[in-house]
Amino acid sequence: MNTLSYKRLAGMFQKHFLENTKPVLIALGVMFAALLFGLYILNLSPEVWNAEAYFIGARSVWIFWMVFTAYLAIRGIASRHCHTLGFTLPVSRTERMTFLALRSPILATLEFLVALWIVTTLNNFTPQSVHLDYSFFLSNFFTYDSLLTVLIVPAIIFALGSDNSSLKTYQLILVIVVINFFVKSWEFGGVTFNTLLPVSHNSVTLHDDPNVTLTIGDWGFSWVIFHLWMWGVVVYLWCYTGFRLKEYETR
Amino acid sequence: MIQITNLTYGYSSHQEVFRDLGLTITEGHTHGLFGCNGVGKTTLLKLICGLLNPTSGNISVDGYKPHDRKVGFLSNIMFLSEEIWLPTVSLECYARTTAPYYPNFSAGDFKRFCQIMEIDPRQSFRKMSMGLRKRAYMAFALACNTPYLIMDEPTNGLDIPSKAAFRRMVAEVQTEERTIIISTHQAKEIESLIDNVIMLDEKGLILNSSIEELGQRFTFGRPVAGETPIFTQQTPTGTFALMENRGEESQPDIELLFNATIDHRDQIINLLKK
Repeated sequence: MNTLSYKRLAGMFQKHFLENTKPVLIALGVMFAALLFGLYILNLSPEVWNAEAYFIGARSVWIFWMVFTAYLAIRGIASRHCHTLGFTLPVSRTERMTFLALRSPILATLEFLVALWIVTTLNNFTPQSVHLDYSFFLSNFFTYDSLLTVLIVPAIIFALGSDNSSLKTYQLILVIVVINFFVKSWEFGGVTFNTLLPVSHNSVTLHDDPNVTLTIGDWGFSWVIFHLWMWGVVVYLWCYTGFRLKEYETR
Repeated sequence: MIQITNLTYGYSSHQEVFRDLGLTITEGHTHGLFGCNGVGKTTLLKLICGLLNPTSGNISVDGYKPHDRKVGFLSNIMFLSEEIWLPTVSLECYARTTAPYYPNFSAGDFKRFCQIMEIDPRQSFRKMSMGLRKRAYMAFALACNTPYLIMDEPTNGLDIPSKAAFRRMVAEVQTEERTIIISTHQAKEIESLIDNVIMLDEKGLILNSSIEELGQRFTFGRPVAGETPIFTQQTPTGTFALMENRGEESQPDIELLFNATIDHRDQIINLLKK
């Protein structure tokens, strides 16, 4: 019989956070860097501050948040919870899976709150025109992404996540996150796609000022860097998890 | 008791480590697990701990199937792997968060073992050398007082005084309720601790015999005139031989027995079957 003891489960969280304070802090640091990078994109052309730029800037922060959440979850799970000591810890399979299922959204929420706090702080020190759009942040948090993180991922872990196939499950999560990223990129209404492959149209008319036009030359290059870096992270994650998978899949 | 029947396991379908392995590990004893590199000692220990899943066959540890990883099973078993991953916290902190999972953990034993191993529990694992980390983890593992204690190459990376301290600690925790399995290549280091010998080779189990039985079956020592030894070994201190015992019980020399078993597998097996 699989059992669920809340005392043991709470112990796992206590153990996890005490033992992984440093990696979590590093991850939050990376998150902060990602946020600054998003703001850097936003600040590329000060003369073109507009709704479109807010949109793209906030999007970039959002996507970074998603990717690094996945990064934390997958790297953490793959490297730490597959370890011998992790698997010999006397907890039931249900407790282990509940822990894994809860851990990612908890960390994600923590990161989100930190990001929100950073944005608030930065907003206090920047001109009104540079402010990020909270409502965009908040509305998205409770929509598709959060549903995916909070509901679908744990559901998959519960459905498939026996210890035998757990790593394969994590790779599946990565696939979902990547697909999600694709969907999100597509949702830019052509902007991301066009800047990634800057051929179809090379200018975007601003929402608030039809006289100013953003051109690919203004910020397209940054989007290329952004994408290269982003996909670099995804490929790295994939290889890393794959490596771990190979190492442990014999169980 | 650990009961293994018809165990087949391979890391891939082309490379089987065990085929139809049968083995009974009796409780309340300290078992030495020996074998050449690559015969599957660590694999066997991992299978017993539930870290690997048998391709076929059964493993039963006190009625538990290890790979089910039930809480009752896991809290009764402590596996000290050769390479230990430890978080960047102090031993004290690690013990505080991990000990509650082991109902028989004794804070008094933990303190005493830390003293024996000369470990400051407030020191972070990050600041410890590999040997120190191993000593620290050993102090914790033994203080958990689990009925099954499984150690894979426990003395690797330990300095000479630590090896002596390790033997002292193991001797201290040997009770009739506790089953200890030690896998090692350093037969001499644990010879005084073990009371049962398990030997594996690439074909499977060679022997699973108590020290007493081995002492009754074989004579270990200098060659005796007129006696044809099963195996002789040259050492800097002279020639030693393994002979069939026809008289008094002798103290087994595990290293000699191991080398003899490699060269004369079938002969040794047949003698033990007599």
